[in-house]
Order: sequence, then C-alpha cells, then structure tokens
Amino acid sequence: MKIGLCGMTLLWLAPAFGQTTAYVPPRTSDGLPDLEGIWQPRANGAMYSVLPHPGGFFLGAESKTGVVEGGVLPYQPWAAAKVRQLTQHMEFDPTGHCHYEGIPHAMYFSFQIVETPQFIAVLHENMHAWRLIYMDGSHHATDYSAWMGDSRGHWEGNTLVVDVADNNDKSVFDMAGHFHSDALHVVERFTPIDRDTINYQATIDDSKVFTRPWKMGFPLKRAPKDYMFLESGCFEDERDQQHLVKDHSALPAGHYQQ
Amino acid sequence: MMSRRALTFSLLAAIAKAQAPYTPPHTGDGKPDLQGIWETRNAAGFDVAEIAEGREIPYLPEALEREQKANRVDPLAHCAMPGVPRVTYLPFPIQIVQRPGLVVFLYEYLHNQRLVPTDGRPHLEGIDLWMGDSSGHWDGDTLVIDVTDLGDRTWLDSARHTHSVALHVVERYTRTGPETIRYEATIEDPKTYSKPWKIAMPLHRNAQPGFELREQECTEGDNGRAIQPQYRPAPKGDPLEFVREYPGKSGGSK
Amino acid sequence: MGQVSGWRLAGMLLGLAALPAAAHHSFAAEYDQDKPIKLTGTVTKFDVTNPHSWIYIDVKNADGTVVNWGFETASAANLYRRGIRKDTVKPGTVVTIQGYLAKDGTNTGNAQTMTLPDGTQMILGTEQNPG
Repeated sequence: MKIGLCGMTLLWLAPAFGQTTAYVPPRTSDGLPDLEGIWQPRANGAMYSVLPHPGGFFLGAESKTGVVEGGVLPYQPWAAAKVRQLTQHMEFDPTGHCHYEGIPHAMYFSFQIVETPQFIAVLHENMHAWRLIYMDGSHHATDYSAWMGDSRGHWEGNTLVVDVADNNDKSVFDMAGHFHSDALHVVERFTPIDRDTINYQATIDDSKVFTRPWKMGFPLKRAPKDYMFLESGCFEDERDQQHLVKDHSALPAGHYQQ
Repeated sequence: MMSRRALTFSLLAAIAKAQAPYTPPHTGDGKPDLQGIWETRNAAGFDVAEIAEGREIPYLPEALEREQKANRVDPLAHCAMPGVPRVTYLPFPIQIVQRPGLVVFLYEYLHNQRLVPTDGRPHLEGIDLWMGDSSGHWDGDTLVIDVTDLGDRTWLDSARHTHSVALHVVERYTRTGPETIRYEATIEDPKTYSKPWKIAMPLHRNAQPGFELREQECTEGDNGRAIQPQYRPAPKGDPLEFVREYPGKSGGSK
Repeated sequence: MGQVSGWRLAGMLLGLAALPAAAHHSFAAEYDQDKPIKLTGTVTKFDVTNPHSWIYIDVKNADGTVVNWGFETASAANLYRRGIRKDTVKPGTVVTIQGYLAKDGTNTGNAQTMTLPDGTQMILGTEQNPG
C-alpha cells in the first residue's frame, strides 16, 4: 500500500485517533517510522517451548505464561499426537540440522532492522539468516516455498504489519515438537511503544493443523550500544546430531505441556 | 565504411569515454549509491586466477606443498560460508543496501550476509570468522573494505586455492556506470603468497523488473548431512543469454 | 594473567543476563541434567567455533589409561562476548570442567564452567540458568 503525502499527514495524527499508544517514534532519513537498530527479544524461553514450561538446566528459566495468548495451542487431535511423537525424536528437529528457524521462531533471537522505502531488511544472527520485507505493494511470490517464507509489509500508523506466506512445512515454532504445515500464514505487527521497546505480535493461521488462528507476543528491547552483532554459522561445525541417536533423542518426560 | 580519420576519431572518443570517471548518483547522506542487485559474469568461482592480475597467484613454495596435502572437499559442498573474496564471484545475485554508517551485503548464496560499518573502526582480535571481520570506509567515490579474521578454512574458489589465518583482503567497490560496479581486491597472506596480488572484475546490475533474491537453503544429503543444493535456475532474460550471443568470447585463450 | 582479566569480568556480568543464543537443537534431548560430571584433564584442543565450541581434554583414569573427552560450550560468538579468544586456553593446560553427561554413552559432556590452574573460573555454558 503506497502512502502519499496526504496519507503521511494522517499517520502523524493517528495517535489522536485512538491508537493504544501515544508514542511516536522518530523518523528515518527517508521519513519512515524508525525501527532501525539491533533488537533483543524477551521471548520468555519460546525457543524451548512457546507454551508455559518448567525451568531446567537445558530449558532456560521457567516460563509461567509462555508467549501464546491463552497459554494453549489449538492443535487438531491428530496434530497434538504428532507433537508428542516429535518430542521423542529430537534428531529430526530441523534447527539441529542448521536449517532456518522460519517465522516467527527466528524472531525469538537478536536481529537487526535496516529500513529503506522499498523494503525492510531483517538481519538475524542465527544461521546468518536474513529476510526482506517488501514494502512496495508487491504481491507474494508464486510457486515459491521457503523456510523463512515470503514477507510483504505496510505501515499502519507507526506499526509495521507484515504478511508472511509461502512457508514450507519444515520449520518449527520451537524445540518442543510444535510444528505446522505449508498452509502456515503469519501476520506480524511491530509496534514501537518507547525508544527502546517494540511490541511484537504474530497471528498464526494454519487450518491444516490448528482448529483456529492463535496469537503470540513478546517485547523486543533495543540492544545495548556496545552489543556486538557477530557471525553465527552452523553448518560448518555442527557436531551434535551424531549424539542424538536411537533411544537418546527424546525430551525428558514432563518438561513440556502438550 | 568509415574513413580512417573518422574511425580514429570514434576510437579516441570511445577510449576517452571509457576512461572518464563516472559520477554515480549519491545516497541521502552524500555517499555513492551502490545499492541494487548485482551479478558476476565470469568463471572466477571455479578459478580465481581468471580475474587475477597476470592470471597468476604468487604462491610461496611451502604454501603450495601445504595445499597439496589439504582437505580435498570443497567447504561449500557441505554448506559452509564461502568467505571473502569468494562470496563476491559465486554465480548468485548480491543485493547491496546502504544506510548512514552501514553497508549491508545480502547474498542469495545460502543466505549469507555481511554487515560493514563504514567508520573505519579497528578489527576484532582473536576470533576466526568464515566471512571475516569487515571494516569499511569511503575513499572518494570508492567503498573500501578491509577484511581480516578470515580463519584458514575457506577456499578462494573451487580449485582449492587455500590460505592461512594471516589472510588479509582489501576490497574496493566503485561505480563505473549505470549498470556496473568495478570490484577490486588486494589479497595478501605472508604465509601463502610471496607478495600481495590483485583481482579485478565488474559486477553487473540485474535490472529485470520485479527480480528479487530468493531463499537458497542447504538440503539434506543421503546420510542426513547438509549438502549444497542445485544452482538457482536461470530466469528468463538472464544475463547468461548475453554470453550465448557471443560464442567467440567463451573458452579459448586469454 | 592480563589476558584473562577481561573475560573474567565479562563472565561475571553475563551471569546477570539470561538472553537466549542459538535455537540450534535441544540440549535437553542430548544431555542429562541429572548426571552432572566434573573432570580434570589436559586440554588437547579448544575449537572456538559455531554453532558451539568444543573443548577436548585428556583425562587419566585410575588405571592409568587416558581417555579424551569432548565438552560442548557456548558459540564462538557468545564466548567472544565474554572475552574468551581463540587462544585464551592453550593445549597443555590442565583444567577442571564441570558439566552434564551426554545420554548416548560417549565421552561427551555439555560444559558449564571450567576452572584454570590458577583457580579462576570461566563460564562456558550456553545458557545462564538461574536454577
């Protein structure tokens, strides 16, 4: 959606029209709401499980709430059974094979935003991943299936709204067996609420495995000024898969709900 | 048929045009605009000597010996990062994004990326990075990137041209026309080469409307080990069609 | 000595932060948090790399045989942020590593801390878990 001068004026006035936050971010040199910088998600252990989960040495801190609104994932019965099976076979977890985390999983870790009028680049440390969110009104690619999907975005006031389609069925939401199909469709909303905080929300829609859409959310905090954004490879020296062998690849019982 | 005088005049004019420095458009913060999608059209990915001054790499004898005994499997076979300069001349598109103080290189090849600050900051020390540590600065209309910390595990091409941890690469990116960037790199490594040597090549703009970099991800091999996927299929109107029109330029000498 | 002071401070400070690093695979499936181990041995190799670094030590058994153990640590990137450099711990150094045993029966562990000959402690673990 192209926003002309008239539209830009309306966007400036948007907070007066009942938006929930009064914060107006500064503008980039191109006049866009400035979300640039390095962000550190406070995802509450979502990498282990997006649901509430106990703490443990290899599970991070306890999360009483998880990041899913309502604390429940509305899996269809066959899919809930598959989740349990997957937790017994972590050798199949794609992150262990160094694959892309996909969206929203990739958003639980540090990333950097760079904005131009045509697209917003999200640069991830993990797996040296990157995605371009095209802001030029273009449509999703066709005949395309990707781990990180295909992202097309627009501004709603100061909120960046991103539509992620063309997802493959291989990426996962976390390391607790929570999978999806290739019908996955994600709508993300990045809402700056102060200079150092963006509220991130993702609406997940996948009618092949869930009974209804669901939402997750967590804050993104600006990284400290001296934070070093470093190369983070995986394929080069991955040495863990050899230890995830038959009978030694299950998550401990009771570590995760569902 | 042109007269000899007219021919000479045309030739001199062409040479003059070729040598006159091109003034590129500038970004909002006054820097030459290198942005866009760029592609390599040469065989340096197979053998970097293709684009080396003198088409020769000045190896130290002991380094050549070391290389004969090196691992024979290209690190790219199992999806490792290609390193610098190799990432520049792989047959995959590159997208350059510029913001004040930062140049971002997005490589379609296995989703590699380089974030290059342009404030000439000092290098990190005591770490090996497959893509090295890049410190950039502007020298007139040229982006200069100094790269160290490259470790010793990348190859310069698929011909197994290796290097030591002392590798130091200085890249120079200069717009030479609406559709071209001249890419040069000085490569030095006192444990591998008897002297620094240079490579140079054009990068060509991909101006196809709607062309976008796509995801290129490792695939699983038979034993579950990650392997390099097939090359990106060339889209319609791909620059490779240019080469097919001029068969006399492919193969053969010099 | 001057070499280690930087990382020691960084390690202490890092103990306060609990930000996740890589999502790369589940340690909970690979290692057993109910099987802590503590071994002393001589460093043979410290591969400071990604996604995780690996430190290898020769451990002498009671019967005099020597076995090489591999311990997985945080990524090169995370170690770097703690001030640990690729040559900070040299082969030949005698160290004590505390961590958790791999479930598959190999001589493999997930390192949490490492104590150097002078008694100083390095935090090698991937996560800084409060409990």
